[in-house]
Amino acid sequence: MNLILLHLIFLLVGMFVLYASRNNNLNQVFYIMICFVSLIFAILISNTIDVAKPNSIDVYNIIQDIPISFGLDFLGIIFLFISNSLWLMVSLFSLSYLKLNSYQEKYKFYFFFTLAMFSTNAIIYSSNILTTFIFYEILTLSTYPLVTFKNNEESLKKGKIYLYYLLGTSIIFFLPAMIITYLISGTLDYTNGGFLQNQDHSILFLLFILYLFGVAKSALMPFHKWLPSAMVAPTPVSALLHAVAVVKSGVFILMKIILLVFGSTTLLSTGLDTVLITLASLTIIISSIIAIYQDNIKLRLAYSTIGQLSYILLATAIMSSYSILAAVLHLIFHALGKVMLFLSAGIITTQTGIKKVSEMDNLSAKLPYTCLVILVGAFIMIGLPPTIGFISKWYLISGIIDSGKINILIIILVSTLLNAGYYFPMIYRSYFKTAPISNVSSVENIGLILPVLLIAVVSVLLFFNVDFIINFINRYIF
Amino acid sequence: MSQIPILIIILPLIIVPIILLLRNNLYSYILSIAVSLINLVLTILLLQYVLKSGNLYYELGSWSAPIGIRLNADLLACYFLLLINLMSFICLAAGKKIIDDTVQENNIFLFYIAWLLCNIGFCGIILTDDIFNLFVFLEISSLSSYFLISQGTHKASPIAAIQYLFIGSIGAVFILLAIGMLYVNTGTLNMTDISQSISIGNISLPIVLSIGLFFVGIGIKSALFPLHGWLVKTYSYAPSIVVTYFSGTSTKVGIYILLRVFLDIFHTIEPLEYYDLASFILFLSLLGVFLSTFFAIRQNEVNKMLAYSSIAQLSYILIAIMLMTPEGLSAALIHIFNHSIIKTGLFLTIAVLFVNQSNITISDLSGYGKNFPVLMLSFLILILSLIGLPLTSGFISKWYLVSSILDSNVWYISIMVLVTSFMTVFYAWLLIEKIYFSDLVDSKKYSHFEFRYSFVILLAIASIFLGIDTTLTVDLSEEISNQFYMVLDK
Amino acid sequence: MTIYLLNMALFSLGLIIIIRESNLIKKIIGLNIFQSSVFIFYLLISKVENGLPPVFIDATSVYSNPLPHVLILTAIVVSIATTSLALALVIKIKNIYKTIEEDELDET
Repeated sequence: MNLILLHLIFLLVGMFVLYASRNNNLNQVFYIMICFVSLIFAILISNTIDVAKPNSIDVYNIIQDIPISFGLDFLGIIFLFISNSLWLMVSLFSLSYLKLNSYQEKYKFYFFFTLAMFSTNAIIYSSNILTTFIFYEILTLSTYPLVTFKNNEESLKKGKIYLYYLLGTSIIFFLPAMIITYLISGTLDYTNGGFLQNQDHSILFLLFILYLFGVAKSALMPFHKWLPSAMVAPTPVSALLHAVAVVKSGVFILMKIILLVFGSTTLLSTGLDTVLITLASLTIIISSIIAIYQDNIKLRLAYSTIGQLSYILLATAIMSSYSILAAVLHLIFHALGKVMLFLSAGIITTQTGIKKVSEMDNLSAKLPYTCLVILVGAFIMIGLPPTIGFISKWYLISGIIDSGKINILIIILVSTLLNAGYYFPMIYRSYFKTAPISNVSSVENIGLILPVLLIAVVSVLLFFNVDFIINFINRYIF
Repeated sequence: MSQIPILIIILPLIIVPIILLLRNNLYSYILSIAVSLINLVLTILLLQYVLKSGNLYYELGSWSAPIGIRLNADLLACYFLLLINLMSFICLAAGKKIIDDTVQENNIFLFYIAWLLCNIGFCGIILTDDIFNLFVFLEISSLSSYFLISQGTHKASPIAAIQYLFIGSIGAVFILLAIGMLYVNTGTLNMTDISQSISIGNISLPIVLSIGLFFVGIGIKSALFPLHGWLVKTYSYAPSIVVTYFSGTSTKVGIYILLRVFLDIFHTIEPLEYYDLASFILFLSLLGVFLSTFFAIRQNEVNKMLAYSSIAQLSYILIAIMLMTPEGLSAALIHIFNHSIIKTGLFLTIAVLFVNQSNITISDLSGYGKNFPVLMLSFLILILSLIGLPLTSGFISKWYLVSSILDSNVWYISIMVLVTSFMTVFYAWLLIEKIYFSDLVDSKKYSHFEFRYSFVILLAIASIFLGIDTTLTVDLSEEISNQFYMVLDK
Repeated sequence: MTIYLLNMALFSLGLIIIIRESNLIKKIIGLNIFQSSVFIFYLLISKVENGLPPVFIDATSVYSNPLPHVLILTAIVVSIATTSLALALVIKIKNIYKTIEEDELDET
């Protein structure tokens, strides 16, 4: 039996178990076990499957000769590993989080979270565009109940925006892009080096635009509005799904489409890379500016996510080997950093009720560890040493210089300054600004802070041991 | 085996007077459902036979074709027969209690008679090879459907019935006149014969007139956009189970006549292209898709919303046909089947839940997700299928529809089709939100699982099945459209 | 030719009555006129010039075409059924609404 299929089937069975045990105290235990086993699967799969060889396996033909098919490539391994390990951490966090915020119907949360992670894993494994599309849509639908989990008027309104943006773009842009690809090339399988060579320029241009807008989960402007809307969800959802699983799936899909459908040579020779570079640059700058004006912590983080995602796309679009390395690294590092930041925001709101940056004055006195984590997270986002964010930025700049597109450096510079502009106020307020009153409990809930600290420690350790990741990636790029 | 086509028509026709003589509600139900089941089985057998050994002709009284009347069971006919008989059986099987609660006690056996006659009419239209018979069967089905509609519990149902009667009769008379014109020109009523005697060289005035008259008549029957008014009224006032039945059948039969007349009888002169009817219908359908989607969003009543949605979906089917490519035709056929399953399922959900109530608003569904988990899950699946999400039959439809449009020379239509198909989300999601994210209005509204619910679940499963295994819809549709366009090329 | 034109006038007249009249009974009458015009059309096309009634005398005589007559017999039956059903519905409407004027029905 193929391990990949086994992993997916396991998750499906897990969901069934979660639903069946919905009125049971063991529900949570099952959930954590599922996350844990899923991580083990991820490790097992990345160790046993040789990604250098084609390893896709067809499950069932849906349309003519396009099957649902699963496989794994090197991008997949990285994303698989990062999403499953963070899932475990966030799940541990969400146990206490849901309890402290006294949410009802927790089984629904676990159920749909597992469904979302199932589809994320399926997107990672998918080895043709149709399979990707199928699970892309399922991911949208499975996160909708999580976004509207609070079930009040505001969350329903935001949920609608979320749904309309994601479904709308996928139906209006992604679907026709896929069909056109099939009509002109007769295949949808991801192929090394792409399979759209020798096609008409205008069609390629159209296709590229359709894909960029169609995969709106990558939050490329102008179709980014859903991401801030999704912030009404409980924090673990924002942390894992809307900083890692969902948005990174979008970026992951786009990277795959760029590298494995269009192919770098086709893209460079047709000049389509400039389209993406322009869009990504605009998104980086605009989202950073918007982020500065956001007072709500989660919204500020959300706009930061939009910008950081475009970093990855920008790095991919530059197409030099260093920049692709930077893209992959940033995919990992941003995930770590953003999860920390979101979970910290969740701790702050849960324990003090604070939701806004302007209320964060002297928070370090109350929540010392949390503020430390925020510090590390913010450093990663800005790209300051000694955090891993510095490494990916380093390679990004090397890549840009390598490719000779020096103008882009200005964008990087400006956006770094802007990043600092919206992260430093948070740090400054929590450490240096004295608050008038309050001597509330000054200890973080252990169930909340432990997973977050663990991620933070790993991320710091990673800075000193980053070579093995780079070596791994380099094996496939160079 | 060769007797099957006539059996499908004759068997219910024998049952009808028996029901009339028995005048017993229970027996009439048993007889109707038995004969529906037999019809369904016969249709499947017929389909298998035709797939294996080609068209099956049945000559009534052994009089050979141009003189005698002939039934022609080809693949297209079998495909539609399967659809009609399947829907009839499902509605009858699920509808016993609904019919008992809706129709007046002493009218129930008449209701079953009308139902069977209606089904006979549909089957006759599909099977006959004689164009005048087509008219007669059309009137049989129409007359019985006027009666069925008038049996609704809403007091406006007789008005809906009589208004449909007027517009339906006008349509029928147009078709009758068109048949007369054809007869003037060709001197025969056999469709195969007619199609052979019309050729590009001798297009005369009667032929032109008959094309125009057919166009209007069929337009009324298949709810082509500006002629769709009756459909909305009918769907909101007729008995719920009748609406369920009609949603999957009656307009589809209209489309069947359209295919027969314009792609079969007139195929040598290609009237749709020759008179630019194709682009005209395409234009009307696009307008129809847009406006009906807008209307659907604005509706507060579930039935009206679904009715407008049906008009939009019918317009998609017409758009696909009017591309005049084999891919377009097969996309249309795929969507006809898938949409029937979806819409029947949606209407059936409303019917089994609200039995004999009318004017069900969206907020009546508030909180039903908690009380009817399985039923509402099926409803959700059907809605997702209507939106066209992957792994449901709606996605298959949409894939083939969009790909046939992109493949044709009017690719820009795909933009409008995609945008409107996304707009489906707007109204479909109103229902989902009410069902799953609102509190129950009427908290005592709870019932245990009932037998009739299982048919909704069955249809939901069917719609997922057809979204994964496409041998029935896609392979068959492609085969049919290849046959059609091979004939056209000759 | 004139007779065809007259027939067409009848056809339009019927259609106009159905569309314009508000009284349901008048509408039904209009429908009948409308249908009759088509029946007459069938009878007109069956007439062969100098044709005898289609009762066989000998093979050399010219006969009118009997087939349209037969067809129209069926159509008349259908028309009668339609009319009676329509009348039944009108009675039902009258019982419920106490009126058969369509514009008054739409208001209620």
